[in-house]
Amino acid sequence: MIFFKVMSKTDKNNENIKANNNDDKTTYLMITLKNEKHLIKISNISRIVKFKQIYPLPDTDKHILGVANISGEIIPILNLHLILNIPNKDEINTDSKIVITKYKDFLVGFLVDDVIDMIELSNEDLKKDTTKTLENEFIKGEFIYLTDVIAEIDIQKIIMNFKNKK
Amino acid sequence: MKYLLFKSNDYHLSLPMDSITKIDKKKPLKKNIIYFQKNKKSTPNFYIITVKNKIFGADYIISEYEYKKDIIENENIINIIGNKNIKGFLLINETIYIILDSNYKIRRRY
Repeated sequence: MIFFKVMSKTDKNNENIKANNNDDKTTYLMITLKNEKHLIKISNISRIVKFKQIYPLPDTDKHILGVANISGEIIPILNLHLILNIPNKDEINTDSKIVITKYKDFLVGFLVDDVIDMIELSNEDLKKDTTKTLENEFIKGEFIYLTDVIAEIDIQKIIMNFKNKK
Repeated sequence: MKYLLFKSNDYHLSLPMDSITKIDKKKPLKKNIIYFQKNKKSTPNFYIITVKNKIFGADYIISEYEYKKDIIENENIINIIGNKNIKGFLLINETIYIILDSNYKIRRRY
């Protein structure tokens, strides 16, 4: 069941107006993967749904969890823990959420442990953590937000990487 | 179009009925059977589905099913999952069945 749609067209228009008035702030979805907080740009997200049964696929990359039926649409679901080298839970937790992302014509779901909040940040809010070297090609940057270090996930790069895999 | 729905391990699979020449219940004798093992200890309750020059193994046969809707053949899904031997999907009572290419080029053999 869908528990919320990220933005309607009207919301997006309002968001654009708001962004213009607020020095190009960007809205992010904050998620957790094994207690680590991560950010995904809201412009990459189509919707967020509660855990749905994932049907495994034969002869596919270990990063592909399978496909899920999301409101009558079949969507491939990727293992974000494995892609980002975050130790995976032993079993799929049915409390997890699926974040459906969209880039070009590709709809791809990512299983995440939890969705915390939507936050609006300007570049000034995000202070790049220069003390760390990025260890994963799909992390755009690590930022210090309040007291936390949060990594921004490059969803577009992940989708393009899987699209181009042979 | 009619499809045979079957299961191998956790996989919900299907093949077009018109491509199937025979279905037998027996232990596999040959090594060239297409069966998707999760590990080497998998012990299939074997059914043999013969399709042209290929032989598929199944744990059990679910049913024949007349699929009246358009099958889901989204090239973008196939591009992301990367297995070109998957021709599309059937959505039957909320369950997804994978349509296998009857000329499946197997990477793993039973």
